[in-house]
Amino acid sequence: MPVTKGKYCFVGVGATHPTRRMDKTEVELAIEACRTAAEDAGIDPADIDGINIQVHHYPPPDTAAIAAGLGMREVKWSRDGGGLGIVPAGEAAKALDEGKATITVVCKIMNTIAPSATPRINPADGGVAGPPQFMTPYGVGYTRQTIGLFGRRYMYERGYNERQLAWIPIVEREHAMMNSGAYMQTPMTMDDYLNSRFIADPVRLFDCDIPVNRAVAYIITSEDRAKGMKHPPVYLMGWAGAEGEGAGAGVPVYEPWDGVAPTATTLYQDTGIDPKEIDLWFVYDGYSYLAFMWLEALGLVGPGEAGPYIEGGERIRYNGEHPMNTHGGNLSEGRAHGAGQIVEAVRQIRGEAGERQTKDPNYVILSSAFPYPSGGGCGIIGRGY
Amino acid sequence: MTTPTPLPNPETRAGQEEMKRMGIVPWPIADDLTRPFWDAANRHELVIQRCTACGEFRHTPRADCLFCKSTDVEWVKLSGKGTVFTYIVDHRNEVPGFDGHYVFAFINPVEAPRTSVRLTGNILECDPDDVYIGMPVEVMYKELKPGVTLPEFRPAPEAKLRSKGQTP
Ligand SMILES: [Zn+2]
Repeated sequence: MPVTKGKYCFVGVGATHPTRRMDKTEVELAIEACRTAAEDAGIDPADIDGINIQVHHYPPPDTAAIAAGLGMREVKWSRDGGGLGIVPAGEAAKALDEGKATITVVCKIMNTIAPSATPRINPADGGVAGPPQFMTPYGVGYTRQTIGLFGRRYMYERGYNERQLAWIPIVEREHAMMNSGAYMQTPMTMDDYLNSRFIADPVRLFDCDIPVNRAVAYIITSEDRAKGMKHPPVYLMGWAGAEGEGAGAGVPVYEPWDGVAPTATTLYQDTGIDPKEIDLWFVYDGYSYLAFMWLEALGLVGPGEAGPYIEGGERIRYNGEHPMNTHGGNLSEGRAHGAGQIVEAVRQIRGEAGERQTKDPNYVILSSAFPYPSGGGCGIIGRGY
Repeated sequence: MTTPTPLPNPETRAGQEEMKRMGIVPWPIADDLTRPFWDAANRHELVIQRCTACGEFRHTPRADCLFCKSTDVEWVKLSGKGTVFTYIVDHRNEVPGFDGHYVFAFINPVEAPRTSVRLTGNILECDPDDVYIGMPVEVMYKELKPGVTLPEFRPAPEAKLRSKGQTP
């Protein structure tokens, strides 16, 4: 069953330019991105009456200050935080469907200097409680380490190799260089990739997304309202999945490798869209290993097919069969926990992606977080029904 | 009167670095669920949970069985022999108490090869380049401080070590 009764559309997108130095406040970044999105939609920010601000750290910024800065006349629906990537877009649509607001802005703020996920160690004596007690006393408590553990096993079971995996960061870098809004603008070769230093072997530096400061915003409203706005509506065709990051600090159980498959099945059933009909593959790439694993987890390729599919890069390039993250992804446009993929999906559907524009895309699939053991989300953005 | 020095904030990189400088070493706080495991480690024994309803092993400890949801459980002593399921070689050394390139692995014990069992540990007494998936290992014990002992692993005699010219 689709989660909403009505149909909901992306009508405006906007983002600040990614930086490595935090030279504005989070509130300033958010206001700039939300205003850009409103301008893109051709609406007065005062007419926005729902707002969802997301950060991945605590404390969150003052949403009321952002709403005031935007000049919102009334805040009917407000929410802090909530999941990664497409999932908060779905939650915003649900709130619209329930009549809680009429036009909602969703904004993700990234801040490189804010506290992030670190091992939970008592600073007084080093004690570690809860599930991390089996990991952190052995020197493990960062996401990149967990990714390395299941990434290595995945590659081993599937018979894939790093020269296949490398094409994800390499092609996404090519895409970033066609995107003036991307942080990384220098080319990456296979040798560059293979020579990049290990972070948590097998995870290399170039397998990790690039932390940046930025805000990324999009505006969602009902189909009826969207039809009267500046651009043709871009539809949220459906989404499924839980909020949260899945593999956390505990000890994950790794098999089966299709952990998210039930979520993907729900998505395909709700939307009536077959994975074969999907043009663009905007799989979550906080780490290149995750993007690799999402391909099979979403049923876009069969088990054992992902490595050969991406090898050489042609098929996933912007002019290939199934372009992957044409903006450069979290890996090269800059970390946005999947929000950047929504902006790019809207631009691609509208035909506004310039040099990197793909050929008449109808459907873009997006995923977020970890394909397994669980906790990931997925959704489809499209031209219409 | 002197003001006590504030503790490092463990949620920041600076805090983690400060903990490193202070010589803080992370250690496991046993709780009701995990105490039998750590108590056994102090006796240099390796024990994990087994469901008495369906007979399946599980680890790390949890209240109910992954397979049948039963909460009836016994703790079973293992031989300490197993194989490497997967591993990383950490190069960043951000966790307080760790330096150099160290190996962390998930180990499948020979008694419970199912994936519902994940023994965790470092692979010690071993060149990180020698570790491979499937490598036979055996348990050893490292006392962190009085009353806190970590089960760890090292290559079993039959492991094939590249550094000795052997092919895994
Ligand atoms: Zn059972």
